[in-house]
Amino acid sequence: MANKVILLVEDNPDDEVLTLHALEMNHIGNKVVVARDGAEALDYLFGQGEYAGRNVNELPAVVLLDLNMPKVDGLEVLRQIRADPRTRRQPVVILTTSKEEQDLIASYDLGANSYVRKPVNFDQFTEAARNLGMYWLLLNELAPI
Amino acid sequence: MISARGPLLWAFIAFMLGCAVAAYKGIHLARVQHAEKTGRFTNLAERAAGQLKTRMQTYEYGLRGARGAMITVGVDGITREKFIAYSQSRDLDHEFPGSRGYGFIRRVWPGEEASFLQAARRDGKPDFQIRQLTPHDGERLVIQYIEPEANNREAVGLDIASETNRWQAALAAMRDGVPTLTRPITLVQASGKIKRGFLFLIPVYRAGVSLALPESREQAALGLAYTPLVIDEVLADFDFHDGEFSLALYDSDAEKPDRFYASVEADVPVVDGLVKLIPITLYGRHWRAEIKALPHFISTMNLTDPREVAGQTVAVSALVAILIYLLSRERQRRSLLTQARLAAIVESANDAIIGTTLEGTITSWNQAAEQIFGYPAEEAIGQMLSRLVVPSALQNEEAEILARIERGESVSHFTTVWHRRDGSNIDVSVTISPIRTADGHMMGVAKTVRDVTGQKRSEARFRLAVEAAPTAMLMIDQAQIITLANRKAEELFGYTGEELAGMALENLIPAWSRQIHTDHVNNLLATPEARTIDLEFSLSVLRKDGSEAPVEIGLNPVETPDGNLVLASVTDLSQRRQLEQQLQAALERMKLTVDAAGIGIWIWYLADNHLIWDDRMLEVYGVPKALRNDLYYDFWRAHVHPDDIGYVEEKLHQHIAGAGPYGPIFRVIRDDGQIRWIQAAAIVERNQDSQVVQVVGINRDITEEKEAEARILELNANLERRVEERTAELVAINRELEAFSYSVSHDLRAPLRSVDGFSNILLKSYTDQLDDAGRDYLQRMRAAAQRMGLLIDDLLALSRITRTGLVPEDLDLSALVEEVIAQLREADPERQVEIRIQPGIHAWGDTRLVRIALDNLLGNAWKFTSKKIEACIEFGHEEHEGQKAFFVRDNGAGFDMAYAQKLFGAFQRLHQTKEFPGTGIGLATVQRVVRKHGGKVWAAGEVGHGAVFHFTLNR
Repeated sequence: MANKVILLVEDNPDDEVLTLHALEMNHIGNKVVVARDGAEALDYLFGQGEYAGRNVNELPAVVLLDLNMPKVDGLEVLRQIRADPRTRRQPVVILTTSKEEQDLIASYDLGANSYVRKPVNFDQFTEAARNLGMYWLLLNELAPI
Repeated sequence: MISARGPLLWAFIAFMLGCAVAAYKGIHLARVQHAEKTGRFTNLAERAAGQLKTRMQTYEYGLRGARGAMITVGVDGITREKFIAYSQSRDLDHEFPGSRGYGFIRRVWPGEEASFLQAARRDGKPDFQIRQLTPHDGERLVIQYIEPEANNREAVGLDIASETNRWQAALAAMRDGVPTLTRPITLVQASGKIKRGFLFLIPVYRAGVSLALPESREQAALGLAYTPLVIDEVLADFDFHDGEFSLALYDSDAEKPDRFYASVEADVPVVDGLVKLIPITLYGRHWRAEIKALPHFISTMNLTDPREVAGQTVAVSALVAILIYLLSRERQRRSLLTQARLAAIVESANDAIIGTTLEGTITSWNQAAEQIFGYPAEEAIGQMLSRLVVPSALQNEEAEILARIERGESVSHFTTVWHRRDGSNIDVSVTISPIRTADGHMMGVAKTVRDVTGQKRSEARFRLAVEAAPTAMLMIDQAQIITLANRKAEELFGYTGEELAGMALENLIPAWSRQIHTDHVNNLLATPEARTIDLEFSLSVLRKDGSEAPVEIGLNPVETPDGNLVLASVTDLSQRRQLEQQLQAALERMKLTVDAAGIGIWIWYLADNHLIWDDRMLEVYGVPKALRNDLYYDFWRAHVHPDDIGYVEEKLHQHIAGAGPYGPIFRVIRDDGQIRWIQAAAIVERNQDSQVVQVVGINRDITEEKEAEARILELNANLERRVEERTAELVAINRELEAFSYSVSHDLRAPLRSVDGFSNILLKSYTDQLDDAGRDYLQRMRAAAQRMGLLIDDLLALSRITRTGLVPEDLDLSALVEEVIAQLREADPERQVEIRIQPGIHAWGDTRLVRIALDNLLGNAWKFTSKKIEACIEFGHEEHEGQKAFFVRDNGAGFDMAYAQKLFGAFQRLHQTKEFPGTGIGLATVQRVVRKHGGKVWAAGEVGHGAVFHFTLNR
């Protein structure tokens, strides 16, 4: 698992820094690939655009997906991940600011594996990142490819 | 010719005798046959009635069987299943042909309806409902079971007490304790058979109760066993003997006997008068069976036609007559006797011709005499006429007349009374002529006697008829003297009959109209045709007491041997006049009403299209009164709005043709340009030949009503538009609010996270490069950012309450409170708080929202008791202004009542954040939840001594 990447889909640079910092604080050593919007995330996953030629069989250990993004938003990314046979078993954790009911329902309906709200309090955020790492990188078994 | 008369006569007599025999034989045979037919038919009819009774009795056995089955199980123990089982044990079609099934009607008292329904639904019929034909509040008689149900589905659940006929029969059955039939009714399960159905009911009583009196029986009845019948089905296999008779049944208890059954040929005309009405008393009803023989009945009797027998006899006698004629013609031809001729004349005369000697001994007596007086010639001849026919009281008269004749005086005719052999009197007119010998010597008298009884009687009848006439009648002779007056005339004029008879007509006519009247009577006597004196003459008659009475007189000439008389019938008009005056007054009143209602009246004469309009019509149409007499149909037509005239004329013509009412609303354009709205109505008036002569109608000016209506319509339309606009605005606002909340949720929190996150990193990773003040500032930044995060979360929660709908259900508040407290304890396990919760408190509300409110109230209580050593939180409920009010009480920090009003505003805080943390949105949220439930929330408290929050949930 340690060699698997984490795909962080996050458009807010502050949140990107804070998330990376929180992962680092928890000594999570996996490589983190950051996609700054939904389109970039899809390019990475399907080996297209900037990531053309990437071996798409190497799926991330987990995708940390923000919802509110320019261009292709998080829900659309999730839909495409689930629609494609190559990625449909990919673990996806929604990591977002909102806990609006509509977002929660839509995410789970589209097949999100988990939904985590980014707390304002950074201590709590760090704790959440630790739990995420613990679960998705250590405990969870991925589907065979 | 003369020579042929004798033989012909004999032949004729023979033939006539033959005919008489034929007639006798024919009539006799017909009589015998009639007696036979009548006898057989009576028998047939009675058997048919018996058949009907027997059929009805089989149903009674069925009812008793069903009741027996129920009594065995006990009425309270009967279930649908058992009833069906019983039903299936019987063979309905063979045992009770024509019955639709047997059922049980349960008596349900008004208070027991709910429990009955529950029981009935549990009893294998979850959708059991009580239906009523007419709603009522009394006891119910509900058809609970009826088997087989497939034939009777519509009847299940029917409350037969909700319809008078069924209810009356059921009540009679319960009171009398005997099987009872309803009147002919329309069964709900056979609604096509109008008034051809019956319920046949028998009461089922509670066991062990006295049934001695009708009252006690009624009290003890638990219900009724019953069978629904349709008469056509009952009589479907009725034995009509291959169409020998027809049958119609009437219910004669109705005011007008009600025919509820008629076999196919029931309305065919009766054959030979063979019809029989048989009363049938059946289970509390009185029926009448009308049984008529049909042609097939006669033909089955194989009777010889009496006419045939008579015809044969006539034929035989004709042959005999011809034979007699031929034999006697020769002989008779030779004897020509004047005497015989005379005798024949005398014989054939209509008047009795009687010859007597001067002493009065009868010497001849013709056929007419035989007929009138009843003595045959052999018996009369040789008797004294006076002794034979003259009553003893008139013996002298007879003797006197004879004496006068003897003296040679001429006695023309006279009327007197003789009597017949049977003792009855007879009015006769007698003419006497002497019989003289060749030398002129009188040898006897011939009396021609005519029966005038009939004539006398018709006179008497005429008098009686006049007497009985409903109007006053006077008979007046040519001298205008009253000869006869009836009782009505006595009443009218105030004179007695004796006084009137012989009085001059003049005396009954007031002086002022005497001439007119006399002229009429004279006129009539000259030209005798019936006439009624014209009403316009306003005839009056004078009473004995001097008063005058208005009358109508009808005059009829009557021809009598004494010359022409006049029969006057005098009708007293006093009463009619009075009615006319009342009618006139009523018309006046109606006119006032019509005026007050603004209704104009018009008449249209179809012959010349002339119109008559009243003042109101002229006013509405703006027509000057001067034109009143120049109004024609086209004038009106020209004033109706061109868009409306087509429809209005169509309606008018339809109405004249009798094809619909006339009541259109149309516009009229007046000459001054004003447009008025008119509501019209009309009726047509026809002559004897049904031709429309005129149309009378009204016009009502409804312009103001129309305008008001239009204004209201416009206002309504405006209102609707405004409501739509407002609704659209609200929808838009709501949508904006949602979008706003969403972006707050996302976008406002992200920067806060950056502030807190980077402050945190600074504090942790760069702590060496900061002094204490620097670290303190960063801590403050973090606190502020986190606090703002909480504020945003609470605000969002508050707005979410406004946006969510309410789904109320039954809530166990006590349990909810337990849950909240459990959570609080979990989050703060260190604290010792005494909790008192009243168990089993329920309310009607939305779980999620009420939970939010309780979270806030209990959270507050928890928070504000944090500084108490013996903290106590209590939840319960109490009455408040007739409502259930719930409360959360604590013994914590409390608050100053002066600020009680401010508590529920958003961001209102009565404590320092440092002292007790919080955003000040909690109570605003509570208030919003409570208001959404239609309830209210209020608080009481004292600084340092705790607070109590009450709330109600109305919905």
